[in-house]
Amino acid sequence: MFAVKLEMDSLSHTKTMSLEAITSLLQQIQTGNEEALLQLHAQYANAVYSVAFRVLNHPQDAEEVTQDVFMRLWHKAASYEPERGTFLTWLLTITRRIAIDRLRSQNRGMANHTVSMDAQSHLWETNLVQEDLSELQRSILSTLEALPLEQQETIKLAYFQSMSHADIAEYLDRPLGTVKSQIRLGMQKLRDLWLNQQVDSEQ
Amino acid sequence: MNRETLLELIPEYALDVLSEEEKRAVEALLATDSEAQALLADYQAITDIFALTAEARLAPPHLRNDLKARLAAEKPSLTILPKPSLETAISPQTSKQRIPIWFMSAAAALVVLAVGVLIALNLLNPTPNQAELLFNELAQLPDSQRIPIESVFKDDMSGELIIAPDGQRAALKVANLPVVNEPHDFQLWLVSPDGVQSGGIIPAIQAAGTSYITIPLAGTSASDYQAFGVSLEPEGGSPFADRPSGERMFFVNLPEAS
Repeated sequence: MFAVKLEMDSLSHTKTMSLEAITSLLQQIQTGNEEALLQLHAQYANAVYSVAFRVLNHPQDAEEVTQDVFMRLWHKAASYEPERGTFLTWLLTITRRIAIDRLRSQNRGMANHTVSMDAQSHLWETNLVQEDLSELQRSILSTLEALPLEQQETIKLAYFQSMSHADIAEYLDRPLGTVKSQIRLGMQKLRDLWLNQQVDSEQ
Repeated sequence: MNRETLLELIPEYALDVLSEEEKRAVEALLATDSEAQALLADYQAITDIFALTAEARLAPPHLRNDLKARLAAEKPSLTILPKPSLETAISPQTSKQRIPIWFMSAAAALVVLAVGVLIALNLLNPTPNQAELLFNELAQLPDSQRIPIESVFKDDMSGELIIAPDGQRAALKVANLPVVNEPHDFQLWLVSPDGVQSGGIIPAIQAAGTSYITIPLAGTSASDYQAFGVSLEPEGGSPFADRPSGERMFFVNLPEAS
């Protein structure tokens, strides 16, 4: 490490890529334009890697999943449907699935989430950029973060680690029924917010 | 399980935490129940954005080149055709215009010999580059400041920083920078109280053996800086304007200005 501390940039400085730009690049990918794929890689590799790492907690595995995601994009660029959600959330959904498949295939169960003393980790204070989310989606994320800790952690264990009720109950040393009700209550709160804000936006 | 119970399981179905038995039961309901389908759509829209709660991390820069390599590996390989023989490669000509094959062979041999001599001469007496000339010049000055390079990252790497007496010129001599395959480059960094700036790219192919690097002080003084360092970067340099992204090779702390 150099003698002076080197500050890392924040992902919040990432430029937003418009839907038109993304659509154009996806069309170019379908014609075999590698540079178009590399442009999307430059824009979204950090986000994909972050989610992959969150699931796997293993740098090399996260790297391989990141590459798998973009190779899947190379082969299936036509499968993105803008009406079903933002490109980023679609891409990260694919990332999560590939990462969880890898986790399951390795039978690693709960990836060891001891804190990594990576030199960069202490500089990362922000979550992934919410670059092109609607107000509703931002509210969902805020509400998730504001849920009681027990509900939040069960939902995140379920989402990122694909753990079953029983696995979560064992991992957190809680009764199975408690884990089920915590997940349902947390998800219900999020859906209530979703419905209320959708009604507000329609009025 | 009755319908109400199955509807209650839909949020967990969206999270994919149900047992196989529960999952099959919910899917049977989803196949025919429009309310269940709408409920699932809501919960899937919600869970789709959970990924954004992941802590932000930088993807390693080499992933870009790795992706290019994977794309290249997927391309169909070229079929190497056998080279035609010398006789068949030559277009048939009239007897008056025909160049004797022995003449062409002799000419080709002379060209190869000449090139070989030139290469040998160059290897035996390589032209020193500007950085090497500067280093040697500064080494001759009696009051030049000399600072040894000790790499904490590569045991067998060594060298020296030499600074002119007036601090206006400086050069590095480094032995045993690692030999790397393209497409990587080394990059020089200048560290000052104002931050870190790139001092330029040192193409890896040129860095084998002993390397000489001019420090681009550009009107500043070496005393304006705290350290110089070299990192290994993707081809073309760090994706960041103001910091390395790759493995640090070495750095040289400069003495504080008195």
